[in-house]
This record gives sequence, C-alpha cells and structure tokens, in this order.
Amino acid sequence: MNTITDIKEVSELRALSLNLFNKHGYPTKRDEDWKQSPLNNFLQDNKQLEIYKTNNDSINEEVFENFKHNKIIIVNGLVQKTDFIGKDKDKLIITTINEYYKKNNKHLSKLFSNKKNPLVAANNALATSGLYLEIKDNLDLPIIIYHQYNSKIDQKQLHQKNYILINKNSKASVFEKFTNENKKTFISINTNIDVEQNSHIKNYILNTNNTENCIYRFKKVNIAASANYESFIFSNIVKTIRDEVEINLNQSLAECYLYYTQFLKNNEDHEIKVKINHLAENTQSYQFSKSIIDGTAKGVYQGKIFVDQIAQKTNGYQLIKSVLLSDQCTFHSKPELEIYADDVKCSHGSSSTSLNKDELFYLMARGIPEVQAKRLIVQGFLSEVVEKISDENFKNYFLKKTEDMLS
Amino acid sequence: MSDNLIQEQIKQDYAYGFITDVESVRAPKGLNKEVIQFISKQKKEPQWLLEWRLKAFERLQSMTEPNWQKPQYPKIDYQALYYYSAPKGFKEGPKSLDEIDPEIKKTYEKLGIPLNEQKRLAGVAVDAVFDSVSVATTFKKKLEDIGIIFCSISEAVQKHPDLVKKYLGSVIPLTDHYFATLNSAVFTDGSFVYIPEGVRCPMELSTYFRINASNTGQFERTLIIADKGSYVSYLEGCTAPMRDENQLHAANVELVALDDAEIKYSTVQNWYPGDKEGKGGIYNFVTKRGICKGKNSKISWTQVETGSAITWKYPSCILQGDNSSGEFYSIAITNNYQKADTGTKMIHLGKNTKSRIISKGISAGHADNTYRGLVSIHSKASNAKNYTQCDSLLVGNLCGAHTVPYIDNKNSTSTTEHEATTSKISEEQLFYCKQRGLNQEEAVSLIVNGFCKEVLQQLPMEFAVEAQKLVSISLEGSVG
Repeated sequence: MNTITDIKEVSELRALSLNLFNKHGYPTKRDEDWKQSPLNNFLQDNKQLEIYKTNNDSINEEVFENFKHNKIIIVNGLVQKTDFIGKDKDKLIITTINEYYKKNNKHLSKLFSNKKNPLVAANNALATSGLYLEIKDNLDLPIIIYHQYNSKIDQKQLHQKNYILINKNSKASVFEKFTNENKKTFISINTNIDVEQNSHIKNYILNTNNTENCIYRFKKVNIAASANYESFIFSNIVKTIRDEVEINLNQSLAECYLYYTQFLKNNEDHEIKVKINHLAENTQSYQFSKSIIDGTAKGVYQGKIFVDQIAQKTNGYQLIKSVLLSDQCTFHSKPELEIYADDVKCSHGSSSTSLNKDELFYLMARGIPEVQAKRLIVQGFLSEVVEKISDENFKNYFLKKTEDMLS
Repeated sequence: MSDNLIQEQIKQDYAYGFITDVESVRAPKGLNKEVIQFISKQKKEPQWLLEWRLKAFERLQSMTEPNWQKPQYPKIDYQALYYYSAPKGFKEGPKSLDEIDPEIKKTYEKLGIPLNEQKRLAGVAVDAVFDSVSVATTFKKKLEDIGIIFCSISEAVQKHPDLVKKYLGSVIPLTDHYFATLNSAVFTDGSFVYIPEGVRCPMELSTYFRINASNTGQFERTLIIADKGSYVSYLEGCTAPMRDENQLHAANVELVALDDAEIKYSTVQNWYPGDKEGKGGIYNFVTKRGICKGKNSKISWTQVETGSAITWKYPSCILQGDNSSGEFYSIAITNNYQKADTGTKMIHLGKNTKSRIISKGISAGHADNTYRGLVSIHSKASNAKNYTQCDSLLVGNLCGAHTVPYIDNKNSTSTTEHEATTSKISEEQLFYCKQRGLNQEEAVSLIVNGFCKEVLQQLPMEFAVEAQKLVSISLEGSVG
C-alpha cells in the first residue's frame, strides 16, 4: 500500500475507510445483507491474506471474437495496454485511477462513499490500482476490457478501484471479460459509474471463475436525467462470487435495465445483490434474472427496490425465476420493496420450480431424447433473458454462448 | 354535515377506549423471581410449572431484544410494568355468569361480546380475558358433553395437567426469542382448547382480550390441540382503553394439529392504536405458531390487524406431517402513526406439503406497513408447493409500504411462487364510484373492502361483518 504516494485527500479518505472496516471486520452470516453469501466462509478462513502490491505483470494478448481493437487490458488491476483506432481514440480518456486522483482532488469523497458495507470500506482503504475511463461522445465500436488475474497474486488479496464517467449525450457499449489463473486469492473490484444527462451505456459481463478464489464485484451507478444504464451478466462456471450493484436514479426519466443469467453446477456458488434507489420522479427500473441450478450448487438473489417519497410515477419491475435440477442444490431469493411514494407501480415476482414436466413430455413425445429435450428447455428458459439485450451483436454472441454452454 | 354530526364522527374514532372502574389486585411492580413466584402462587400452580417459568426467566437474563424489525420503539422499561392484575374479589375463578363483577359485565356488553347466553350470537362460545385473568367461559357445559375442553389455561393446569405439560412449549420453545421467553416466564392467562379424536367442534370458539389497568402488560398464552381427525374454528378479538403511555402485549399462541385435524384461527385485532399524533397505543408483539404434526393436517391463520401502535407478529406454520397444509390470510391496515411489521413463516418439512399466503397491506397517514415472510422448503419436502401473494395499497404520499420476503428452496421437485404489487387507489375506480353518488370516503372504503375481499371471505360470518366495518373505520380521516 505504501509503495504509492497518495495525495493528502486520498490518504485521509483511506484512513476513514480503514477505521470503518476495523470497526466491523469481515462480514459473517449474522449480517442481514450477507446471510447467504458464499464469500463468508472464504473470508473467515483467510483473514490474513497478504495485500498484493501493484506491479507490472506480464500480459496475455487476447482477442475476443472479431474485436481486434478498442481494447483495454488490465493485468492484476493495473492498466497495461490500450489499443484504440480511428475516431474513437479521441473520444476517450484512459488512465489509471491514481493519475485521476492527482488531477481531480476536489470531489473524491463520492468515490469513497460507503454505507456500512465492510468490504467496500476495505476496498476504499486498500485499493491502489484501477482504471479511469471517460467517454466523451458516441463511440462507434464497443470497448472490450480484459481483466486478467494471474498466478502472481496467489494467496494474496487484491483491491481494485475503477471509475467510469460517461459524459452528456454519449453512447457506449462496454464488454468485460474476466480470466483467472490464481488460487486462494481474494479479489475485490469496486467500480463507480456516472452516467450523465441523456447518455446511454450498455455494460455486458462474461462471468467465469473456476479457480479456488473468491471475487467480490461492487458497482455503484449514478444515473442522471434521461440517461439509461443497461447491464447483463452471464454467469457460467462461477465459484464464490458476489456481484453487487447499487443504482441511484437521481433525476427524472432515468432508467436502468438489469439482466442476469446463471447456470451453476457442481459445487459452484454465486450471489447477486441489487439495490435500486428511485430518487426522482418518473424513473424506471427493470430487473430480470433466470437461474439454472444443478449439483450441489447454491444460487442467491437479493433484490431491493427503494422508492423515495418524492419519486412519484415510479415504475419498478423485478422478476426472478429459477429451475432446480438436482436434490442437493439450493436457491435463496429475497425480492424486497421499500416504498414511500403513493403514485407508483412496483411489482415483483419470484418462482423456483423443477423442469416443466409437460414441456418435457411434449418434446419426448415427438421423438427427442430426454437429455436433448432437457437441454432445449433449459436453453429456451435462459434465452428469454438474453433476448432482452438491446445490442444485436452481443445478443447473438450470448445466445450462441448459451447454446454452446449446454452442449 | 352539521357540527354535531362531525363531533360524533370524531368521537367514534376508537369506540372501545373507555376505562372500566374495577378495583384490581396487582403483583408488585417489576420483573423478578418474586413476581413470578407471586403469579404462580396466585394461580396455585404445580411445582413443575413454577420451575418452567423460572427456567424461562433465567434464560431471559442472557437474551436481548431482537432489533431487525422495521418499526423502532423507545426502550421498554420492564421493571416499570405490572405483570399481574386481576379484578378484586376474584379468587377462585367464576363458576357461573352471576358471579362476575357487574362492572366487568357492563364492559363486555359495551364491547358487544355475547357473554350473556340469552343475548348470545348463535353458536359462539366465548372465553373472556380481562387484564390478566379469564373472567368467564360460556357454553362450557354443552362443549363438555362432547368431550371438548374449552377453558382458561389456569384452569387447564389444574384439571388437565398431563395435556398442558405435554404440549406447553412444544411449538414455541422456552428459548425461542426475547418476547416469547418473557411470556413463558410471566404468562398470566389465556385459553386452552382440546378437541378429542374425531370431533368436529359444533360452534365457533372465541376469546376476547381486554387490557384495562394502566401500566400493565398483558401476557396471555393460548394452547389449542386438535386431536386426530378433529376440527375447530377459533376466533380472537382484542381491545384496550385509550391511554397516553404505550402498553405491552406479548402473547404466545401455540397450535398443534395431529393426523387429519384442522385448526382455523382467526384474529380481529383492534387494540388502541394511539392518538392522531402517535401518542400512546399498544405494542402488539405476539408470537403465534402452529405445527401440523400429523399427516393430512391443516392450519389456517386469518388476521385482520387494524389496531395497535406497533404490530409485530408472524403467525407461522411448521408443516411436519406429510400432505399437511398451511394457510395465512392477512389484512393489515395502518393509519396515522401506526406501524406494522407482519407476515408469516411457512416451514415445509414433510412431503407433499402445501402453503398459501395472501397478504394485503394498506397504509395511510404517516404509517409504515411491512410484509415480512419466510417460505423455506427443506431438502426432504418433495413435491411441496407454495403460493404467495402480497399486495400493498398506499393512501397518501406520507406513508410507506414495504415487502421483505425470503424464499429458500432446497428441493428440486418443489415449487414456490411469489407475487407482489404496490400501487395506489386507481383514479378511475374512484371516479366511477363518485359518479354514482358516493363521497370520497365511502368510495375509498368500498375500494379497500374490495381489495381485501379475498381475506375477508375467510373469516367466519359473525366476524366478517365486524371486520368490514373495522376496515372502513380504520381509514376514516385518511383521505381528503
């Protein structure tokens, strides 16, 4: 931590956060928000992990599908390579988070805000690396961010802090891909996203992790007037991950759309936590999540819609569906509403069932073998969410990914 | 509307707020071993029960009040409460209606309880609890003839100690949580019902609770046992006088349904809700739990919660027997500064168990209304099914409506479904009603009654009418 010289403001904020963390300690299942969290056991068993010191680690050149350019490669939290061509190059500012601190030392406290979340406090106190990305205009091509975590961070804890700012009237798609080749590691990634007036951002994440580590991703998104945020997280082969997002719909006509698919097998466990704060009139939120759980896997979905007293004409929608395939798997859901305004339409639905026997019968009666029939049903079930993605290229990519995953 | 009429309307706010002038015998103030011994002695309890109480009291010392609930309340000073209060001259328990203090009788007449058998509503047997003791049980003879035991729990301790010893604390253990344990230590009276094998109780059984004395907590304990193949429907109603201070009501209700038995438990709760500024009112912290112990058994909870400053209760079902089912129907109405945090727990343990939850929350004024519920399907509960629906209605923009469901499914052959909506009274419905000559208040009352219909239908006839009226009265003054 001390290898980087912080400016005064940052070191003060770090000290405050460290105090907060020390007061609470690592979360346990006694904490309401962390009751079912897969992270608890790992963190309780590995309290004394060494803190990883940012280093120039070697990069692995990756190319995702046909996207050769417009890419950012981040290795163990540090931005190592950027490659942009054409007009898009001038529409962006990319730097490290520390550089950003030095230039903008006035309004940093909002990046360090924390409401009683011990792991966010730890991240605020300890994060030394991360990405600063500013988008100033409409981008032609999507940005691909490769997050690579290699064996250099084995048995260490890594805290990374990113800040993404989307200026007024801009549009962008950001695709994030995670590669993990390490073990016994705790990775905590804290991302602040500010979506300014009339901007649109689409954030797609391919979530995989099959190593013996533990990942906590926390996103805080502030959405201004007439802006919108769309996010899709595709989770397959995920072990011990908690994806948490807190969204503030700060001004009228702000919108957010959150889509999730989960396919968990063996002893995988994945937790999704969503909190949406409707803080202005005429705001809209939409959550749609589908999970397939098999083996001894455990899925958790905690979703909360909060509507402030002034947030009249709010629309809040939440649908969580899961299918359990085996006798030992579990699914916990907690779809929560907290509403203080009267002229609102908020609803939530949650269901968990086995595979639909009628559907299975229908397919098998037409000569499709059981295994294949089940696969078809599962594919159809998950595709319903994927179909909601508004970016055609990524929709097709994820539809194909769903199909490949099952075969 | 003339001035007189308006005055009358205002007075009507809480019709049951009168105080009955009866001299009472109280235990010394405070919570300690001596008080518990005093209560036990007053009730001439056997040694085992005293020991049971003291065990609960000991356990209480190491417990803290739960604090996860939504409504916050000032710290309760448990040493400033009276844990036992009985009308004076009340020694042996009533033998017939003539022995009851005429003042108390008048109180119940004002409340409209059919204590007097001649004036009774057909088919309702009543056990009335006044502060800490049971004053009268009607229809005892008739019920005794078919083997049904319906009496106060103190009487049951004397006459049927085996049954009480076997089932007391079997659903809500001594160590459950702070208020349940407090109740186990100091419970004073309540009802006891035992329906023998194969008997279908021919009438609705009913209890009326009233807190009269000031600074008194009411800690009643109800135990209902339905033996194999029996059926009983039980009603509970509550009122209290208007007082400035908050009064604590921490009851425990335990239901046990054996093979093929069915228990239907209905509550119309109208404790004093406090005045318009939120001063005074009852803290209704109640633990209600039923166990479907046998195969094919059924427990159904219906509640209409309109009173109390704070309502904090979760009538629950443990579905242990195969093919057993649990139901929970609830209306919670909060107005002014009232707060409610209520819901249910359905614990599916047996195969083919079913549960159904319908909850309707209505908030008006500055009130907060929370539905909190747990549906837990354990790994051995194959083919379990749950359906949950919780709707909230907001009247005015100063109130809040919240939903906090927990759904845990550990069995792949089971199904859970949960739906919830929150909205306000639709302008179109209001317009439609008003066009046909109803005023704003009547229109709102009609719409709210429609919104609650699914739950009101579950109430026995006599209560349904009362509950409907209660729904309208509770919302009085909330629109305009």
